Amino acid sequence: MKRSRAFFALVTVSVLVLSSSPIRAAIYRAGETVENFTLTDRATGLPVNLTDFAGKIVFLEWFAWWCPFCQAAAPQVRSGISDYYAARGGNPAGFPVLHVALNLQPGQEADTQRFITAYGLGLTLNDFNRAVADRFQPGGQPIFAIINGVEGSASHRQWELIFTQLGYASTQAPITDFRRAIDGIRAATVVAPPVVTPPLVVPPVVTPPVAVAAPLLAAGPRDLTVRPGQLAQFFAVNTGGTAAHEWHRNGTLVPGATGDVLTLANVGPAEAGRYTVTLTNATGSVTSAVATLAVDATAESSLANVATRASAGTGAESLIPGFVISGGPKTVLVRAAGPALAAFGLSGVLADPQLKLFSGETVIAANDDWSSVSNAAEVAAASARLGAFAFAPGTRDAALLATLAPGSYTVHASGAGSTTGVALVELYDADLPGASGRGSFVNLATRGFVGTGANVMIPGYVISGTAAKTLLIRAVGPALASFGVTGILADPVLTLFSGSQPILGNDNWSDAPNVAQLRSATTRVGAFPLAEGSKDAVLLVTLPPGSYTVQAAGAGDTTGVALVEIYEVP
Amino acid sequence: MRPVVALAMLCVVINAQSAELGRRVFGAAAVAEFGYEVLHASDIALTQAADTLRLDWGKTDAALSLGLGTLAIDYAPVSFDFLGSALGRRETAVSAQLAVRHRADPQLELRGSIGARDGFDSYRALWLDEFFRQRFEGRPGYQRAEPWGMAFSGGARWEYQPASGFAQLGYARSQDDVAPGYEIDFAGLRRGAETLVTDTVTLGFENVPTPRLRTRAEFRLSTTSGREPRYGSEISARFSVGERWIIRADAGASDERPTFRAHYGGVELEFAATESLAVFLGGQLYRDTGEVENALLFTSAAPGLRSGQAALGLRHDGERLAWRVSVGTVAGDFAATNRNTDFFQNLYRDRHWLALRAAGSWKF
Repeated sequence: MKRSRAFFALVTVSVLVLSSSPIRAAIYRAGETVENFTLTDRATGLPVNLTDFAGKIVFLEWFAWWCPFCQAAAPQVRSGISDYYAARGGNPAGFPVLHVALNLQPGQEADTQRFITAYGLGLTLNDFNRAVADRFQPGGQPIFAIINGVEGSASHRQWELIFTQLGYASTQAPITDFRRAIDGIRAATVVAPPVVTPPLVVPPVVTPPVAVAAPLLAAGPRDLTVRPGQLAQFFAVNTGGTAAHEWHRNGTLVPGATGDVLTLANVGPAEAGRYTVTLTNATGSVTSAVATLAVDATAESSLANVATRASAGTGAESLIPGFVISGGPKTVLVRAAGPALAAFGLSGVLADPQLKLFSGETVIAANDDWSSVSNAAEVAAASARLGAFAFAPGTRDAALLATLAPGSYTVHASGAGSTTGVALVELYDADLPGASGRGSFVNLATRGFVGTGANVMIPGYVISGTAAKTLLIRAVGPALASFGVTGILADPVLTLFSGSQPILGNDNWSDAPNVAQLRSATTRVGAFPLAEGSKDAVLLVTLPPGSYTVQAAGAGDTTGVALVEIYEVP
Repeated sequence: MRPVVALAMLCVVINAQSAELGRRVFGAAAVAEFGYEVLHASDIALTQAADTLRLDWGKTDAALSLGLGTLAIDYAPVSFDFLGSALGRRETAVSAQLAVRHRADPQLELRGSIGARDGFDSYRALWLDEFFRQRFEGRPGYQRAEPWGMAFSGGARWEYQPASGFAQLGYARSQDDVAPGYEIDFAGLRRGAETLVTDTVTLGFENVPTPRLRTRAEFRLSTTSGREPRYGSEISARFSVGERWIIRADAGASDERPTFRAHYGGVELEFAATESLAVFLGGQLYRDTGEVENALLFTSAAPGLRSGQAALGLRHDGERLAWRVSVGTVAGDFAATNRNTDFFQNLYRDRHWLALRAAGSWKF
């Protein structure tokens, strides 16, 4: 188990290495491209990325509740920008204009909320410590920035800073200035395709013979122990030529089992046995090693670990994992690795990560430097016991060891002293083995921006114990629209990895052959339902203990915001 | 109002009983004076009453003045001030002053005074206090304002040409605990200056070059805590035309670095209808460039102001009783500010005032 966790950590760090880039600290000037940033939505506590607003003209307005010029600006921006463009369906080119308020004042929540209510602010993010604000206008407020989030505009690049201004008293007609910048973002010019004259003589098409590759079994079924009545699955990953699948139990063909996944519902003693899969095509045939399916009512397992790559700035500029504990109290180890990642060759790491553990909007635990707290020895021991790579004594990595009541929690990692960089946020089930009456993770979720290439979202999970775990894994994009999230990933695609090997995938959940099971599982775990025919992606999978990653990407290299959830299916 | 009426009634009674009551009671010639002034705009009402008892022992005279003022404002926040709310607020201010003059010799007169005031000294101070109160009351660092002030002065008047040439040198110091401004930022709330000390030196000349012309010139230098020195000068003249007409004119200017300039001038024409009754009509124009901004986070300084006033009145000079009443109007026109961000546009908005003034004196 320890080896698998360490391997998982290494895989995750490898992803970080591939995708990390140095953090620029320069101040943006109009015409420059704004890097993506992540801030926390005050209303939901969830992270929001700049790239969530793709397809829109983004009007950013930083404020502090006590700032008189912010007070003066807020109602005029609302009527002159938000309402103005909403009534017109966007700017003259038809691009929607999204107003985003950014709160600079930490604490003083009542006053800030009063400000938000008084001026009818909509989406409001927290930018404590001016992590993002100082990139636009260092010092002072209010700050205004207009960013083109529209791809393919004829006048501006996507994410180009169109306009920025500090203060509101410096001009007699600020709204006019803002509108001039917004209205200057133009649609792409439509160019008629060139007319191609077809050749007079069409050469004959010769189809070359196709050489069919032999099937290659990259991953076959693995031993599985399930509890009676549980769902069992075996996977066959063929990276060779297309082939027919035949599944056998105890040497006997399983009728109707011709897919790359053998799913056995409501498993009982009759299903127990030795399973193989044979892949056959015109070029060859391959048979997997034997995998044993055992049925054991005493077997236990749990979700033991989640890790999320986070590009953490100051404040809460990071991805924020969330989790739910059910059934009883649970001891958790939460870590934010920054300096420790350097040992993996990672550059641009967060030099001094800080951790805050939230229950709702309340901080219930926090840590800056892991070894500075009184229970540092316990943290180190728990890390070793759980297979987490060790933090060196005295480093500025952060860690928390806390026992939590059943409920929902989020973890925020940020940089101390306005530092920025890349961190790895990890969550471990730290209950002692054999402890009774303890709860379990029943839901782990990460919301964030899904990019392309190495920037797809890759949360990682570890299943511990002896029994296989049935999980409902969802990559929710379109369904987020009903929660008011903008810039969503229109068509998420889910791929489940065991180590580096993809073992199962889904594009549109309604097209899955087990769609009825997906509906049933969704109801059982209490997840919000997905619209029939939507392009959200869902997997229902039973996995043996081990470490897994879930890759969420956009179909056709599309990008947007997605929520990746993993539920334990009882 | 009540002290004014009470003192006036007292004076009438005293006057009726005995013209020499003052000498019998105080051993001095006595004069009771009162003054009452009302300034009324649509959202502001100001009253100021002052009663003075002046005693003259020959070489020395003294004047004890008591004042009572009321300030009532209909405070109105700007539309974008989410922390503000409209309300009416009324305050009173009381003051007392004792002034003494002593003729050391026929050509030299020494002067001194001491006084104190408790309460707001202007509707502007009250308005700003309400603004800050609504924003910050209850927050750490905020204190309820209790403005008051005290002052003393000293000087000498030298008659360098008998009955026609006078020079006057004076010094005054006032100390005012004002309603302070506040600024707030991420570090919290901070109070502005609470105590202002002002030192003023004046040098004046008064001359009677002809029997019909009296002129006066004064030069003034004052310094206030945290501000640049302010220079001022004023000239005035009183000119008799024939037996019934009098023209009074004045003009003045002030200057404070870096940007404050003020100029004003006025004319009053008086016609003596009878030996004891006169009618007067006057007007004055004033213009300044706006207060020097001493803003913390944002400014509450007044923008440039142009104002004009006119008054029509009657004046009676009797053997023992004298009075003067007038009714007038004042129009104030403040310079435009950035209305997008000006939190004090309701304070510094253009107003038309009705001015009623009455003053009188009894010798007894």
